[in-house]
Amino acid sequence: MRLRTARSRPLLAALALALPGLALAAAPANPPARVQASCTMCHGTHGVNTRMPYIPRLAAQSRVYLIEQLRAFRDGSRSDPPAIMYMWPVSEVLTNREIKKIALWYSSQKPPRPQRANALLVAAGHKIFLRGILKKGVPACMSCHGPQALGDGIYPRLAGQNAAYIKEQLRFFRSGIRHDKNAAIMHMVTAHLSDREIREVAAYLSHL
Amino acid sequence: MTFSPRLLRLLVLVSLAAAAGAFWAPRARAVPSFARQTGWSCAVCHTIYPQLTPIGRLFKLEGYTTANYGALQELRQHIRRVAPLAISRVTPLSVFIQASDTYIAGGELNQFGSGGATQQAAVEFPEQVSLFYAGRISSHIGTFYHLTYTHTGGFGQDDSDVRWANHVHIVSPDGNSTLLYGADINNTPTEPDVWNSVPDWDWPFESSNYSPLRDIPLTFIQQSAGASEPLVGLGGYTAYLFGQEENHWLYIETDLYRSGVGIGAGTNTTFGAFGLGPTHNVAPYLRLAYEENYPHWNWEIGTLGMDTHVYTTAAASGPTDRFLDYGLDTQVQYLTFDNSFSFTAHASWIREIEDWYPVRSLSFDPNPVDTLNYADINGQVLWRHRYGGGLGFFDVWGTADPTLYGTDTGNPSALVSASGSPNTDGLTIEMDYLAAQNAEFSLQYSRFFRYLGAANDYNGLGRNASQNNVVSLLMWLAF
Repeated sequence: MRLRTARSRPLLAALALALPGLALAAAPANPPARVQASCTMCHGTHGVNTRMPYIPRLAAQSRVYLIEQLRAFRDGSRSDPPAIMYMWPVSEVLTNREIKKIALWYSSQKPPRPQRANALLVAAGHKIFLRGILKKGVPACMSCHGPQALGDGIYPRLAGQNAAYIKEQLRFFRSGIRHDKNAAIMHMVTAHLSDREIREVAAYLSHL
Repeated sequence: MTFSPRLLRLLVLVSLAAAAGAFWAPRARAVPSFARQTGWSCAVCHTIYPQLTPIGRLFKLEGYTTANYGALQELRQHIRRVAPLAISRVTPLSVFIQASDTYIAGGELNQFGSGGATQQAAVEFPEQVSLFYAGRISSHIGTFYHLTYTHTGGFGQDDSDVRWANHVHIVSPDGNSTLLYGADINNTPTEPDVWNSVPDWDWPFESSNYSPLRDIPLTFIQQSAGASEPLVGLGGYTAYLFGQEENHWLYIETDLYRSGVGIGAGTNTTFGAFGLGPTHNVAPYLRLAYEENYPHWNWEIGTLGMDTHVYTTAAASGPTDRFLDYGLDTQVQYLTFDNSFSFTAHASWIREIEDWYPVRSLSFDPNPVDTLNYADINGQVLWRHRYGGGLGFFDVWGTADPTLYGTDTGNPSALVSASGSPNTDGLTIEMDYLAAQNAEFSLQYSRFFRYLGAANDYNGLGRNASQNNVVSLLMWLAF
């Protein structure tokens, strides 16, 4: 067994060199110990099983965004009530290295499945997502989060996210409870959104 | 946890009253060592202790193994990459101290509860002291191990479990789902449960050793709460979390109980100190429950059952008595996102069919078959993690049997029913103040509308149910 393993290593290395893009994108084979011991209970090992409606799905989330949010929890700049209660204690002992490992793990998981939602809400939410609400000065969500809501860099993926979590966070942005980095932008975006419109956007995004 | 006239009858028969008190210790279950392990405040997993939130239920189903502080605190070693060792550098020990001051309307008659002789306004300091070893042992094994020093002096085993837990993710047609599963050894039926509508975890969460609440007739499964019977159970459970947001939970638990050795105070060969014999074979326990979770609300409905045969004497041979218990329960809970306001309501009903075998030598000659029912409904609120309250009604009714509840028992006069009836009902109201999340002061009042069959002159000696009304000032500290 040892001989075969040793001989296979150059081959793997050659493949990795020949296909650098694939090698970089490859998901870690096993979840980091921190994910298993800590994150799994609420977010699930693969980030698609959140176990509670108001816990976010982390699978396929932007790696940069995950790193930024874990640091925001750790330094206390993200201070909405659930963040203080659940994520501050979890993140305060995370090292930068662990944060990167966790982010890489969840960002490289398969995206969550679309969720069922009321068709009327989805249709209305789709409009807001694509065009915004001109009368209220609400910009289109897609302008930052992308036409498929897949997110990129500091902009989080919203497609397939739990509707309850989206609604909760949009309300936090609207009320100004969230004031972590970039929250000011979302406060302006959500300031004139009604509860009904928040429900519509959340239904559409969870449906993607 | 509460004296039953039926068991008191046997208690008197074998003259082991002094030993009995150790078995009816009040329960104490908030565990700071879990907070040390997770970094979460008590309020993440509990409202008013030991009422669990959904996160608390998950933590228990995962075998108490979630460790947010693990990497810093754990000592990790491998021997040849085969024998792993990952233990906490901080031993998960907790201490829980309870005290009480109790005033009974009709006077302290040294007849109620397990407190023993004292004057009116009985002060207990401590009411009990509990030591816990509670937390993660390895990545899949955790424990809630609970020893209690009682007012009678000496430590006894309180409700405890050691569990192995794991989970698997399942891709189902409806989306992703999770199967949590585990095996455990425990010493109390319903202790492994995660809802507070079952006997080991129900409300009121604390009551004085001197309270007449502890003397209402209860079913076998209720009497076994808090490791009050020397039982040991080996069981397994699964929780299937399904639906597109995994907000539907289906919980199934089965255990097999039998008399255990090494349970603590009392004898190892008889069924506790009460003169009942050990279990005949094993007593199967089955529990089914369903929960739905929404952002603020969750509700549960469940059923349970247990079938216990116990020998009539310590000889572990010959005839047996049978206790067949089954029941329904439900729980509704409202929580804000930061749990700064919570409301939880429970309702439960347990019915017991008691199939007695007469023991002529002990003059124990009850009806061939008795039934006993217990139902309650109660609710608790907690505001800003500081101010709380609760209100509950309970009702006990069943077959009249002088051997179990009447003058035939030889019980103290306040615990005798002239009609031989177990029928008792009343309410409990409680106000709580949490000076900190780990320090609670409560004022509790229980009022009895009927006691052992009647409102007035229930014992034929002129005692009224209202004379058993009781006020207690309660305190607990956990650290």
